[in-house]
Amino acid sequence: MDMKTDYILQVESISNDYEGEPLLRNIGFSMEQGEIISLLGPSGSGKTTLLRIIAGLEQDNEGSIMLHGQDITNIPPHQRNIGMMFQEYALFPHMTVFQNIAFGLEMQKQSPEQIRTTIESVLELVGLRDFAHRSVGDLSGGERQRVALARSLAPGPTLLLLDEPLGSLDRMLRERLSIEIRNILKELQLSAIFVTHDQSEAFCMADRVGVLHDGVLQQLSSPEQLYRAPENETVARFLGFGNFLFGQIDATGIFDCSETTLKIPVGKSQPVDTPATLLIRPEAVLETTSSGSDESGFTLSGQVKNRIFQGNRYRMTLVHDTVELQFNLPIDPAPPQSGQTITLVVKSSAIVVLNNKSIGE
Amino acid sequence: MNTLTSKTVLVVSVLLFFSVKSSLAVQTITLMSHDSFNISKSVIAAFEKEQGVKIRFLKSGDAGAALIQAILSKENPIADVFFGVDNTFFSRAIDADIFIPYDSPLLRDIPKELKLDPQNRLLPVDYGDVCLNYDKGWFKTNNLQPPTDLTDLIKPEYKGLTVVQNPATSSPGLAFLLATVSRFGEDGYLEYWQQLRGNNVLVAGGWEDAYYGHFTAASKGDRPIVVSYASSPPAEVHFSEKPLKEAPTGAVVSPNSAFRQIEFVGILKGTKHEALARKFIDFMLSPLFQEDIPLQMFVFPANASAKLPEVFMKHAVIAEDPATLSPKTIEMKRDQFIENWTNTVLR
Amino acid sequence: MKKSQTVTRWSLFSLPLLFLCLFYFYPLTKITLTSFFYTGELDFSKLSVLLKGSAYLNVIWFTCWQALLSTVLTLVIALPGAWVFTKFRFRTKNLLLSLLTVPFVLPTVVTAAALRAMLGKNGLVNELATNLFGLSQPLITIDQSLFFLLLAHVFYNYSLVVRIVSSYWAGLSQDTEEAAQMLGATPWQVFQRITLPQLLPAIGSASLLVFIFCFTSFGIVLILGGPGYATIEVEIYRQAIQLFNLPMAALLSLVQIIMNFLLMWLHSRLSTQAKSGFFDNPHTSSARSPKTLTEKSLLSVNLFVVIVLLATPLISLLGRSFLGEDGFTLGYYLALFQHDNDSIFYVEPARAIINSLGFAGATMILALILGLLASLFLSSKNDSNISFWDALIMLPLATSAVTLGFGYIISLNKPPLNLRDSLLLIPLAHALVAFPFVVRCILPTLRQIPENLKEAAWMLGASPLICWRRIVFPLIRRSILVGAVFSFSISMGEFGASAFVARPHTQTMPVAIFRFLSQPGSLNYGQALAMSGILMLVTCSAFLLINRYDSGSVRQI
Repeated sequence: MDMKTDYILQVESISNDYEGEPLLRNIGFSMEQGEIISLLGPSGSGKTTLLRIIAGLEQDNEGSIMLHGQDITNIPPHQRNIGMMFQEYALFPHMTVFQNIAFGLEMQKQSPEQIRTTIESVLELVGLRDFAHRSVGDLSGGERQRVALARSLAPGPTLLLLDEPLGSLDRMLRERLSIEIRNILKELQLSAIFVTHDQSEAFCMADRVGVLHDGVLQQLSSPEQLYRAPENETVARFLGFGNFLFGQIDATGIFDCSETTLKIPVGKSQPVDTPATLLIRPEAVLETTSSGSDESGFTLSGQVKNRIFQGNRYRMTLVHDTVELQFNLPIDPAPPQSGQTITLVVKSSAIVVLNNKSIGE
Repeated sequence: MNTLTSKTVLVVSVLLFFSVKSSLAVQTITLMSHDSFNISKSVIAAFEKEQGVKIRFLKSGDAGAALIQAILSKENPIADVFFGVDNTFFSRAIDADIFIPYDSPLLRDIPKELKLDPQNRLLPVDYGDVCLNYDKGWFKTNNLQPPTDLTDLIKPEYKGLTVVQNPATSSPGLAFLLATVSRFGEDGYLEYWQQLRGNNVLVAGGWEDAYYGHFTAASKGDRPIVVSYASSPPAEVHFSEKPLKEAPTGAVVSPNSAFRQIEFVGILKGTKHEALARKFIDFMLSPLFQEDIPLQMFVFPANASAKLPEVFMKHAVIAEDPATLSPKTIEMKRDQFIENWTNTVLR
Repeated sequence: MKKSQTVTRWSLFSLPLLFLCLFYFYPLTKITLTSFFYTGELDFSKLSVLLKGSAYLNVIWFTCWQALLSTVLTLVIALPGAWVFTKFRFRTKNLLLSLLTVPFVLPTVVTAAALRAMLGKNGLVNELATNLFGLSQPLITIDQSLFFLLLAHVFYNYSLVVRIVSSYWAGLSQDTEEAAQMLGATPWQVFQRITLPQLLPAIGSASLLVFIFCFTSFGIVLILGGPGYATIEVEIYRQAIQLFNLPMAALLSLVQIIMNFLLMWLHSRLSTQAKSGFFDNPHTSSARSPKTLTEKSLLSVNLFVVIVLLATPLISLLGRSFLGEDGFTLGYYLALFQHDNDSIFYVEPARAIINSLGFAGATMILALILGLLASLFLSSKNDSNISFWDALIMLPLATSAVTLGFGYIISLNKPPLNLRDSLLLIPLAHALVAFPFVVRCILPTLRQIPENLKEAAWMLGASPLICWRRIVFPLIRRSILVGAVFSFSISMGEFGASAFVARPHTQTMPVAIFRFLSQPGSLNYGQALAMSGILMLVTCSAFLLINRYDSGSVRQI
């Protein structure tokens, strides 16, 4: 791995098992100063464990962790200067908001005045200016979350770890807070890793998103990149894609679907005549007579099995031969009713050839 | 759900466990007594069969606690017969007026000096001499003469050898204190105890602790002299792990050094079975019961005609000239004796 | 809604309250009045001694400070134990915990023998020292010293603190500890500032129990402390039984009750004010094997202390029950079965075991029912009188056994409550002491359960009863088990009040032990040890059995 020293965090070949069952397998990645990485994965994928290993709360593992170019693998958590926000916030029930936030500052032996100023500014930052002397038992879920954030920010950590920070909040609040948190982190130029199982949360907050599955980091890239070009079927399925075709790509760059007569041009760069999986992303438009055949796309006709109106789009289920494919169409013009035969245009950028096997299988 | 039903079943069965016993229809008389009371099954069975009654036993703590419970419940007595008043508590029992006089015909077999109540509200059943016991083996291996008298204990060579009981919490402890009062007089006993304290006497809370916790002959103790009973040596023989020819301990019964504890029985006022209670007292004073006493309670029967078992004949000694103190004096001055003793020995 | 809740609460509490009135307040009031007016009128001359000499004030003072010192000492030794038993999994954990609770049922004389076998003048430690270093004087002489007294109190109460604290600790969320760690706190700072404050309700409960036990300590003070020391309890016994000064005994008994009541009331006030933590599922056992060197050495040191201080006396006691004149023997155990003495009070050991188990089982069930009902009542958050009631139900624990025993004999003597010579009185008297105990075990956990949890269950259509069974009960299960263990032990060991309750002769194991110890002879002593061995074995097995419910619940998750 590249040993650039301006990486804030380098995680190298982390493996870990729990009672003989492997939990994490050979995880490695680096992150830059100010970057926000989201670890996305279903429950049991090992994402929280990875976070706890970086925090130092789990120590029984292989591999190494470098913070600012310094090996911290064997340093106990309280000396790492990494901040962490817990899933259920873990506020100290016997302390007020002020005392909760002051705790980390006291550990740094800051003077009472310093502590007071810092707390005022972090409370200001999270929008809880008048809450300092409330008991944490009296706070609402969103307020607790902000206190927890303020508490982990106050000591000025090198890196902030967030374990499902919005997990137990309602959707509306979650959307608002995720943007808020991102803004705060960006304002402070603070590097952060957060764990979530919610794709939209990850996409909206992170600079890069890592998908963890079966203890393996399947892909780590920007949200756009992840969406446009999922590395493999596992990632694609986890992102919610459903249009998969199985077949072979011939020497002319044509994908020959084994289930139907579909032939789709995918370009020549692929290995030839080996089994391949194709992902067709659901973005498509109706073919209109005016537009004629699109040079950068590919047309697909079939019978409409289902048409569901979803507000900003229609969700269409199209049957071509024996294959069912799903597409999202714009609401204007309204697509035909079910039972009719239509032709769709799919951009070639929406057609992705996947790596045949997901990593770790 | 399951735990609930199983709990109910348990409760019901437990209630049954308790109720079976108390619902007997046969006429019963109840004997209230202290925890150390003991007698043979066959002896009681003989009486029950002869009279067609059932005897119930109610145990109520040590001798002092049992008596107070009997006194406290005199409005509505809990039992028909009470056994276990000794001469140290004699006056308290008489003053409380809880017993009915009964001039049992068997009293004629009982020596005069044991009969303390001219009205026969309390009838003597047994007696035992509280005295010094010593570990024969220990004195042999340490080449020391065993003690023969109270005055030996304050000699320098007996320093740190004796364990006694606290008279405030133990009845042999009180008996031994009374022995010293009788022996050295009300003016002299405290001086004796002062010297005993100087000779490093150990005070234990009760007999069990003194005997089994500190006496070298009974366990891994550290004191070869203990205050116990003159009948303890035969008990050591009778309850030995291996058959013994000779008692491992000896008792000191030299003149005026042992205190005679006499235990009495009486019919409680308010009993509904006075006639039966009388019969039972006659039975307790009769040879069958009396001859059973030594091996069950390790004291001597009051009835002079009762034959002693072999182990008593061989290994027991009786004080010829025990220390005595009148029950009146004991009741009046007990507090004072104990208080003074406490100040002298413990503070 | 509000009103019906109040009605429900009070109807829940009515049973414990009725029980207390019948078997505590009624006898206590009656014996107190009878005692004060025993001579016909209130006799102040008998009471004036209290104020005259300093002796009685000294007794009261000594009672307080030895109890305080014992409590502090027990906490110091037992809290690390609680930590070890909460956080780590290791072999023999259950067995060790059960063994450590055994002292609770042993008669004081036997405990004294066990401790002396280790630390007495001719005990193991001195024997070793003499042989190793050729000393002419014993290395340690602690018999009849304050130290021995304190040690015995620790010996008795260690498992009480460990069990109560660790059952609560296991339910505390670990997140706050980790959060503090992430904020830069060292392990010690985490414990001091985060864990300890959150443990306070349980530590408070356990300390209160330990303090009351030591405050009312009787046998231990008499035997191990020696006659130089007297607690109020000892003095009450002396006044009532030796001196027959009933007014004085009653007065001292009231002093004891009032002092403890104030303490319990204060405790309750503080514990209801305590901020409750956020609840964690107590069944996701967080216990694990020790990993780091520090953890391993801390565990070893702890286990070493536990084994040397607490387990060896028990083991050596068991050993001595097999040790005859010529070494190993089963003779004492065999003698238990073949009594040739024909005593009317002799029963087969099996019968004594069944009797003991019968009483203990009945006590346990009664105490659990009463304790649960009272805890539910006391866990309510909007009742300003709660501290009063809380302290009130604790009173039986702090009441002199002599006083209560005498109270029974004069009060429960007429139909429909003619119980004084009934066997039923024994579990009733035991439960009277055991049920406040159960409350102390359960209440801290019950108060932790967030109200919204119960409301959530309600909203899901669960009736209050189902809500209780499915939601509350599983959450406090571990605390209930601790309560069960101790109420069982209180009865097995014939603890407290029952010592002075007159009863038809029923041979239980402790009664058998006392019978053997009341007569001289090596066979009697051996049989007492053998019976103690059986008592230990039966108790220990019962604890292990009760503990199975605990591990069973973990497996379900």
